[in-house]
Amino acid sequence: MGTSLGWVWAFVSPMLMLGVYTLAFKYVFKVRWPGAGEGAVEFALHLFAGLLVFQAAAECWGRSSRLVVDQPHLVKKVVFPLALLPWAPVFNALFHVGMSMGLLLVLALVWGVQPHVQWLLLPLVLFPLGVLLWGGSLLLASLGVYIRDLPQVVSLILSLLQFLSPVFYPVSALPPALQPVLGWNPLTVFIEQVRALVFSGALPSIQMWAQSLMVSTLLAVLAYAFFRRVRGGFADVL
Amino acid sequence: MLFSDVFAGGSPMSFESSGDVILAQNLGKRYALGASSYRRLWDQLIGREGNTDYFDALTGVNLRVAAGESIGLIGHNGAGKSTLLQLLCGTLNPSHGSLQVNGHVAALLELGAGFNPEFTGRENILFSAALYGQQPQQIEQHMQEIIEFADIGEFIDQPVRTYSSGMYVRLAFSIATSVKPDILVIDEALAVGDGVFARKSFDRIMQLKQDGVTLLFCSHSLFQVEALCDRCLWLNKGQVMALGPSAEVIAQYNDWLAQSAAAAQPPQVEGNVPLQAPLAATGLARISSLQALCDGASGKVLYARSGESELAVDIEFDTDPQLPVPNLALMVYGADGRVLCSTGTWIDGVTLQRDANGHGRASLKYPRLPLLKGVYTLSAYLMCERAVHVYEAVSHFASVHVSQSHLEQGVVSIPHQWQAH
Repeated sequence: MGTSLGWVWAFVSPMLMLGVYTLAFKYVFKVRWPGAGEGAVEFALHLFAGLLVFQAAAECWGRSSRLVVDQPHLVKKVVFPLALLPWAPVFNALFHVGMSMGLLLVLALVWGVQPHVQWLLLPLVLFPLGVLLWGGSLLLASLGVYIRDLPQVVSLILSLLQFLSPVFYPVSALPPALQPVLGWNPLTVFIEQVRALVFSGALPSIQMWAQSLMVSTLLAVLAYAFFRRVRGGFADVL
Repeated sequence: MLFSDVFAGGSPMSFESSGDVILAQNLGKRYALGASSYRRLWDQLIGREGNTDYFDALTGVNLRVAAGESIGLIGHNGAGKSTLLQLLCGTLNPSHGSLQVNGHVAALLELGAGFNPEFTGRENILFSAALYGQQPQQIEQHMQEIIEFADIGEFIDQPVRTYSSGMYVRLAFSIATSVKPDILVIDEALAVGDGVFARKSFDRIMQLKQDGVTLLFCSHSLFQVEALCDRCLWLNKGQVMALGPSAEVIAQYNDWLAQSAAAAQPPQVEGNVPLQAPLAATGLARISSLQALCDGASGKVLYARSGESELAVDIEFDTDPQLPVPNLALMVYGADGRVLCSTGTWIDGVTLQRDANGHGRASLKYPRLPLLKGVYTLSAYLMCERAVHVYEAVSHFASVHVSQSHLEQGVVSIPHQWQAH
């Protein structure tokens, strides 16, 4: 609230990030995207598809551990339904995903990627990501009340996660032995699905989608149960 | 849980239908001292009390409040009054015992604490009203009324961080009381804001009480507690010392205060009352002149002879002529700060007179001063027509040094008669 350029930032920051990463990986390290041709633009588009998913999580979870801590009056002075707090960063992140996704599709079209009607299903494919973000956010917000070092820990984990997610490379570029390890990262599946859908119109199978929705929902339910359990002690610690 | 309900003589169902609004059973709040937050998290998760040091802010409170009743809450600072109020408002969770609250609670504690400073006044009204569980159309209905009552002009569309503290509490009070609550919780002040708004807020609280709202009033102002509350709960160090009719509990509390000698501080005589211009149409009332005289000699320090001197107090006051006729009161304190006696125009059935400008004067005389030797101080009060709201208090404006020529012991000489048979 109160920024004078507002939603323009939603375009400016991903574009700048994309420019810098492309410069570093494509021109300095001479990395080539496996199976996507030689060009800098192909590299940038593939990178962007992964980056926008990762950025959503980083933005949302990076703020979450301070959600309750920064607003002690909502705990101690008034009776506020605290479980509503994660909606703000989640919607903010999803809004940015939407903006970035629009930008990606426009750039892809300009560069001659063939449009697919399946693109219309992108919001549905990303729905479980929203559930995952909400659960993670609520969990971090609850933990953050008790563990004041959590913001530092989260930012450390997020900067590691940027390289442990298939943002700068596809999973297939890893040695087969390492590929299942990346599967433990909940963002991997979304990044891979977005890339497949944008660049070749391939939808995830119903089973895949249902599975990720189930896992995300389970995490969200557990996070909510955790929140319910520890919420009573918030006022004593803040 | 069920067994305790049976022993307490009722189930939650009967509480709901009994017309009672608050039921506290063995209610307590305990804070863990020094435990690390990791430890607390763990204790919270497995749902047990860890074995660290504890501070019991409140223990064993049993209280049942009927709808429409007024309950006073008295005690020293740190007695647990605020903890109890916060438990009732739901901002704290009980550590043991149970608490049931039936109905919507409006709390005049730390007014405006729930405001978001970046939101405008109007947005904060929406936000706060939503917190009170109101529907959007309900809020729209009350919006105009809230804004009018708060009377903060075009500031209503400015972020509340730009408000003065006065505007802040005016808006918050207006929001908290715009929809009739079932239970009104008041911490310390019966009126908020200053001057005209103080009177306006006091009238609204009285109106709510009259409309049958249950009142929980926590204050150090014992006469206000006694004037308003049917029953009184006296807390000390988290324990209930007494619960019963206000007059009885307050009398016990006063005795206890007098015994704890640590509290005894000789009152200091304070400064002069400056003379001020008349208060036409401002909605205000104040004491404009105050003078104590002993045998015709005036001053802040007076010398009197017990049983002989005449002590007099001349009081002038100014009010907005629109206000109802106010009351005056005088209190006499001993050197230990305890009130020895007091008098008020409403108690003695005296109606004050005012001229067309709202100016009036009165004098009070104590002939053949019955106080025995010692140092006493005087305080004067200008109060509303109900003698509850204090427009102005001038504390310890004069001290009286009384000497005596005989050996009578004590503080005061009560009129008496001897008969020898």
